[in-house]
Order: sequence, then structure tokens, then C-alpha cells
Amino acid sequence: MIADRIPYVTSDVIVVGGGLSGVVAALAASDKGAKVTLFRHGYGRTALGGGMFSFATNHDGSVKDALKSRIAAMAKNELLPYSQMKDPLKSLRQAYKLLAAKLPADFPRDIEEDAPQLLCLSEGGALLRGDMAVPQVRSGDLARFVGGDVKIAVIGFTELPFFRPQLLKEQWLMDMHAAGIEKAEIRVFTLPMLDDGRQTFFRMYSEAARILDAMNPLGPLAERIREEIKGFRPDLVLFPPMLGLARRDAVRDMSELIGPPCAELVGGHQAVAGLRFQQLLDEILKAADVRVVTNCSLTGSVWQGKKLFRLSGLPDGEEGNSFNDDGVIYVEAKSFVLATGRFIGGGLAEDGDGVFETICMLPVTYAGKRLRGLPAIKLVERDYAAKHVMFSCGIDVNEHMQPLNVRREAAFPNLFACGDIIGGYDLVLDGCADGLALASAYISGVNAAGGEK
Amino acid sequence: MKEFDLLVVGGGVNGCGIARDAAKRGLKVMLVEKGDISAGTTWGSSGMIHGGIRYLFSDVGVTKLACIDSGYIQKIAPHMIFRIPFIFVLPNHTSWVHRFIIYEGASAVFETYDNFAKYKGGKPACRLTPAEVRKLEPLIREDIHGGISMDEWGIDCPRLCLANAKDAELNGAEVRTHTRLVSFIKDGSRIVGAELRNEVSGETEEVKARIVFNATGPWVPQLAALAGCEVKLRPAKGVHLVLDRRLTDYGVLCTAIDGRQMFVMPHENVSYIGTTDDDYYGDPGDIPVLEDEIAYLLQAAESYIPDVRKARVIKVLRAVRPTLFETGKYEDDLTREHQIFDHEERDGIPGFITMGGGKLASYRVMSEEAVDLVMLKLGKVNPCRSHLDPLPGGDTTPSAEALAAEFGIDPYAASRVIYRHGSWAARVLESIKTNPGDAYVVDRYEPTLAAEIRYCVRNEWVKRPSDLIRRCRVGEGADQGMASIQQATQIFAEENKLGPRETIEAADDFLQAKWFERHEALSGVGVAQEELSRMINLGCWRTAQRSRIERRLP
Repeated sequence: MIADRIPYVTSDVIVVGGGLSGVVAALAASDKGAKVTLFRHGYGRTALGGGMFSFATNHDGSVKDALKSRIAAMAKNELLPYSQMKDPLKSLRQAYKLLAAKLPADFPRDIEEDAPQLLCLSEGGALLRGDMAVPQVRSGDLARFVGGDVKIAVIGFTELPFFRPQLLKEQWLMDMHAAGIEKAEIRVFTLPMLDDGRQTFFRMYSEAARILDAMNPLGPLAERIREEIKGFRPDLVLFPPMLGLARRDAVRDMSELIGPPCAELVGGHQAVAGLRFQQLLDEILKAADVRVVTNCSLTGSVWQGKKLFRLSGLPDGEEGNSFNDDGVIYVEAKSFVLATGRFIGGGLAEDGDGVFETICMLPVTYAGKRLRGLPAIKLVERDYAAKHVMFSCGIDVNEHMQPLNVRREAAFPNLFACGDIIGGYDLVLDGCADGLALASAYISGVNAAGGEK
Repeated sequence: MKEFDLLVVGGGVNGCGIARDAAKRGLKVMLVEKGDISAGTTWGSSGMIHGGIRYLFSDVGVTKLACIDSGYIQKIAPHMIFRIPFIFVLPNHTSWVHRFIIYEGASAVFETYDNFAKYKGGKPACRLTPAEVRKLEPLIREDIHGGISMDEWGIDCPRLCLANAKDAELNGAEVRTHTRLVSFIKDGSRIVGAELRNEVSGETEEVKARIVFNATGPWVPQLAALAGCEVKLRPAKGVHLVLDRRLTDYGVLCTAIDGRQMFVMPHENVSYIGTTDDDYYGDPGDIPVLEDEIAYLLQAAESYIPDVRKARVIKVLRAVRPTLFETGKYEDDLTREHQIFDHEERDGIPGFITMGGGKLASYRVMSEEAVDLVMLKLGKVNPCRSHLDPLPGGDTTPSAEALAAEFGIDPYAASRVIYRHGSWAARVLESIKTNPGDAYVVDRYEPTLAAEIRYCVRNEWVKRPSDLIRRCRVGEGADQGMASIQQATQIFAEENKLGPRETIEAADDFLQAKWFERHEALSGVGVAQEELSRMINLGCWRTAQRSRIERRLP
């Protein structure tokens, strides 16, 4: 190894991963005055999201349940990382405050007071609860109609034949009734988005979103929709999750042109909401004093004494990162934050011999049991909707968000972890993944900036 | 009470074949199947109508019969047949004597097999040098001594069954899927009918039949016991791994760690690695796959294709062969011959016949033999025509380009519809003319059009949306239905006018059926794929989660 030929990146804090938790950790560390560099190699769960975020589930299903009591109930469960935190609600609020200050003005929402949860309809026919949503989704919040009536117009487009609101109507009504909306009426309107008579099908919402981005002005389309819904007089107009990708104000413009408030449904995998949110995060990083290295996979680690010393990796593409002849990059810092996610993000992987953590080879556990050496077949149930160990596992952390080694001690004093990589809970079924991502990111970011513990 | 000449129990390839043959010979036939058509052993087969070079030494008769019948199947269902050329790879043994013996020995075997190849329209075997082998299949490892090619034919088994069942229906038969035979109606010792229960609606019905034919494959002993007699089989479990892509264009014969012959074979748009053969004593309807079996198959494939683990195993096909009972033999050495048990002679139960054993490639000739016996019992003499008349859609093969232009769809999608439906393809796509949205591609991996799903739901006994897996390969691609299950279920719900609760349950059933097929093989990047799939199906759609909660409620 010839030291002077190897490109080193040095920083106070290195954050690995650019999703929700990685960005918040970087902001928290930067806020405390540390020089932060964020590495990432692509988009993960944050960019695939449907636009709605949940911080803690409702145990009794009531809409009014305050965030405080929900978090307190979850912190009693030893498996959930909330139980490791000294004051999870405080950390969550601090993280949220930090993020909200940087988001566009129409995004944040006060979670300090005991505001009811958001209630938004999804494109899959469900009524979902959440604590935060992208503005396009949030304007479709139904919580204000609880105990009363609502008339909703759902707009389908002939170019999106896979979006079948007519069939989902009954499911939405069933859920809305259960949530306490006494009288709800849904009417579906289907019209062509393009008026040129071509038989076109969009396979992805992103294709439709790009067409809408290029549609200038929106007036003629809005005019047709207004004509369609004129007789119905809806309180809310819902669109499939595709109202513009680059054009962020499409929903607001549409509302102004049509009359009643417009919103998007919470999306599935094709939705553009997650991608929009990820792009917002990217912009926040750009504006903040954080150096971002993209298209770089960190895969190895070196430690000196007790401390983690250096990570190494390979660039994925060009992107202007000129590394040395070997193509290897070495990154050194006073402290490191892992925000690499689970399987989608690449923080965890399975190789036929069990699950492992990909950078520092930290032990992956579930309920205190190590999973290395156990084949995947032992980690899943036969019931699809059951809680599988495979999808609930991750690394363990202490109250400072330091990952634990096999002896259940902090693996390195200068290594922290946040987000999905911390295990114990199911990303889908437990409904607290986004809250844990925020809270753990804040704690690890602050601790990383504060030096060794 | 409805009366039939023949009640066929079992909707696998044999049951469907018997129903078709009997209906064509003018019998009044009913076919009952407790699950979906072709969902049992036929679904878990390799999908080859091959002669069985494996059986050349033990059962020359089986090989010849299979080759002849394979030729007939190619004539009656040309649209659903595809050629699978195979390469038998010769390992590079250290001693030249060893090499010479293996090469010459193998050549002799393949040349013998060529004698039968003429019956099934295969090309003769051909010797290949190592360079030629590597040129044909660059994934095969370098240090080999050469190879020998041979020709086999693949088929979409569920479509073959369905075409047979459809033809039976066209000839006046009644077909009932998801209908279980719960008990026999007896007159003294004679079986005169049966009580049937619809597994979806729960309704029961009694029917009269002059003969009940037990074509239930691995369930033969169970049904025979219900009738009051004993039929012994020696069931053997066969497992295939399904890869997410066509790894090779040629089937590659490999050697497993215990010396058994294995293959890595392209099949439609995926590859199969198979097959295991182990004695099985459990429930044929709920076959577990062990991690040992998956490791064993991958290791075998690795012997000639070192990079096989770079592909992803997306599901495991499992089935139980209804092999005839023999003792003192290894599973591989068991005969693949079939046997028809005439229970009137054997056990004094008139009106009940059972068939066991056999193999997919000779289903037609087995059915012919079975119906011959039925005709004898009924005192009728109409000759068999099942090898002469084409199956539905098998008469002509339309042009994919013309069809694509007519309906405004992708030519490849059109060619897949033609592959499954033959000359009926235009009929399948008809709904596009009234509803242009039906030209939409629901499953992008196949690709399956909404129009085909709608046609299958209307005309092909789709009682549960998971039946669509076998009708038009929804959810059989690399994403295992992540993006298509909900949409296919919506079309199913639309056609059957299901309420919200039933729709959720139907989607849940589909998700669970697919998960059962693949959960044992989950590994590598498949875990990330599954994490995403859960986010969509349980997160946005929340179907399985919701119906599970509701099911728990009293």
C-alpha cells in the first residue's frame, strides 16, 4: 500500500447511507459543529416510500391517541429500540424539529401538541394512519372529517388502467366507517389525461408524472376535471400518486384551478412520493454544510486499538469521484454513523449462511439471539403475514446508539447506528420504523459529533 | 341426482386425459378435482414430454412408449410445445482410458436413444468438442472433455391439462374444480356414485356414476381406502428449483454428489434445476422442502455451471410421484410404468377403477388404455381418437405480428398468448375491443395481459385468484407477483362481483399461495426483493394483514 497514492477522505463524522436516518444524523452532527461527510451508493427504502410516515402505532386503534402515549406504550416493549433510548419522545421531537426547519414551508406539521394522527387513503384501498406526510398526501388528511360527513371525488385516468378506484371504493368506505367518519360518499371519475386520442398506457406512475411535469399549463386538464365533478361538489379531490415529479406544486395548482382541495393517495411501490421526498432530502444536504459522496459502496472496515479507524469501499460509477488507480477509497474519521438500512438499503445481507451486517461485520440478532449460521429457511414462517425473524432482525444498540458486539458491549466507542439497520421490529407490521429512524438518527448524530463516549 | 357414465376423480394430466378421451368416445363424463386443475403432481413435474433416456436401461418399454406418445402430443397441441436441446457434458477424467470409455459408452447410449428419437421428432445426437460446448453454453466450466447433444421437448403442463379438460367439456363433460369427493354411494359392494363437496362454497351434491375412476396420483391410496380397498404406492418426492432467468439455452445434464443425473434446463422464461427423488411418507398436499434438498440441487448444478449461484432461486416446485409399489430398490431404480387396478376383479368392488404410476410424457396412451377398460366394462366399442384430433387451439397457429397489430399489443405478449391458447388467441384478446384498458400488461415478467386474465376467469374454471398462476403464469416471474397479484385479484373480483372483504381474502389467498411456493428458497438478494414486496403488499395494500386480523375475530 503506497499511502500517498491512496485517496483518503477525512472528516470528523462519516455517515454511511443517505435515506431519512442518514440525512437526519448528518444534520444533527453538522448542527453540533462537526465536519460531516455522507456516503451513499443509491436510493433505498426512503425513496420507495408511499409518502406517509408513521412514528408509532396506535395500540387501541383510536385516532385521538397522542404521540406521547403511543411512544410510551412502545418503549415498554424490550424488543423495540425505543426501549433503549433515555427519552425517545424528546429525541424524536428534536430530530423532527431539525428536519422540519429545513423542509419547505408547507411540509412540517406540529407534533408537539396532541394533534390527532393523519388519516389518508391509500391506492391499495386502505385508510392509513400516520404522523407525517409529504404535502401532496397530507392535504388529503381525513382526520378533520371524523365524526362528520365527507364527499370525495377520486380521479382515475384511462391511461392508468391498473388504478381501479371503482373497485377499491368499498374498501375505503369500510375503513372510513371504522375510523369514525359517519357518512362518506366516494364517486369515481375516469377521464383521459392526454386529450389526443392516442391509446397510451402508463406502466409506472413516474411515466405519468413526467407527462404531467411537461404539461404546461395544467389549465385544460383541470378544466376537464372541474367540468366532470361539477355536479358532485366534493369536499376533497383525490388523485393517484403521480401528480408531478419535478413539479412539486402540481397539487396546489390543481386545487386552485379546480376549487376543492386536491391531494394524492398514499402510494405503493410505483408512487413518486418517496422519490420526491428523497429529492427534498438531497437538496437539504446540498444546502447544509455536509459533503456528499454518491455512488460509493463502503464494504470494509479497519480498526486500530479499540476504535474504528477507517472504512474502505469501491465507487459504483463515474459521478466525478476520481479515486486512485486501484479504484479503492479509504475514509477516515473521528466517528462513524451506520445508516445503511436493512436488505433494500444494503446494510444487511443474506448469503445462504445467515444474515450479516455488510460493513463492520457486527452481529445480527433477533431477541438477543445471533442469526449467523442459521439459513434463511429457519428465519421465516409459513404464514406470509406473520412476523418473520428475517424481516425483524438487525443489529443491537445501547442507549447511545452504539452497536453491540457479541459480548453485548459497544463494538467501537466511535461507531453509531441509526434507522432500519437496528433490529427488533418489523418495518411493515410494527408501524414505527420512521419514528425510530428519526429518533435514533438524532441521538447517533449528536453523539458522533460529541466525540467518543 | 345427475347421472354419468364415468366419474373421473383427479384433475391432473391423467384425469384430464381420461375425461377427454372418454367424452370423445361418447361417454357422459364428470371430472372432479379437489383443488385446481393440474395443481398436484403435474404442476411439480419437469414439464418435459421426454422419452426418458434415464429409463433406457431399466424400462426400454417406457422409453419407447413415451417417445411415440410424445410425437402424438406434438401433433395435437403444437402451440404449447417448445424444443429443449440438451448437452450431456463429459467430465475431464485424468486417465485417457477412462475418458475414452465414458465418451464411447455415452455415445452408444445416445445412439440407441436416437432409434426412438424418430417417434418424437427429435434431432439425432451429436458429438461436440469442448470448444463447441463452450460456444453453445459459455457458462459451462472450461475443463471438460466434450459433450453430446440430444433433443427433448418441453410443455406447459397446466395448459396441457386445461386443454384436455376444455376438450372434454366441449364434448359434453362436466368439469368441477375445487370439488372434493367426500364419500362413495354404494349399492351392496358396487360403487354407484359419490357425494361431492364444493370446497369454495361448501355445498354438497350427490351424483350417480356407472364407473368411478381414481386418477388421483399420490392420493390414490387415500381414495382407494375410502372405497374400501387397498392400493399400495411407493410415493417419491421430487423437487425442482426455479431460477429467476433462463440461465442457459440448452439443458445441461449434471452429476449430483451421489452420482445421480441432474439437469439445469430452460423452461419458458425461467430455468429449472432438478430433480430429487426420495421416498416420501407425508401428506401429498403439503410437501415440505428441506434446506438439504436445495443445497443438494445447487451443488449438482454447480458441478458444470460454476456461476449458478449468481442467479436467484425464486421458487421451489415440489410434488410426489405416484410410483408403483416395489420393495428392495432405490428410488431412482423404481419402474416408471403405470398399472391399472380393476377393483372388480381384484377386490370385488365393481364400478371402481384405479390407475397408478406412469409419467407425464405418456399420459395420453395411459388414458387411452384406461378408457379402453372403461368401455369394456360399459359394453361400448367406440375407438379412441385422442391422438388424431387436435386439442382446443391446436389446429392452426396464428401469426403473432398480425395479432399484435390487430389488438394494438406488444408482439411478444401476443406470441405468449398464442403459446398458451393457440388458434383461440383472438378469442382471448377479444375484450380489448370493447375495453381498451384490457391491453394493459399486468405481469410484466411473462408478460400477461389483463385481457387474458379476464378470459381465464370467465372461461377456465378460475375459482380462486391463485389458480391464475397456472392459467397464465401471473406471479411466476422474478418478482413472484409483487407488482401483479393485487391487480390480477382486482380483475378476478371485478368479474366475480366480490365485495371488499372477499376481495381482500382473495388477494390474501394468492399472496399466501405464492409465499408457500418460495419461502423455503429465500436467500441472497431475494431477501431484499421480499422486503420490498412486503412493504407494498402489507404496507400500502395491507391486505393479508387486515384479513388476518378480521379472521381472528369471532
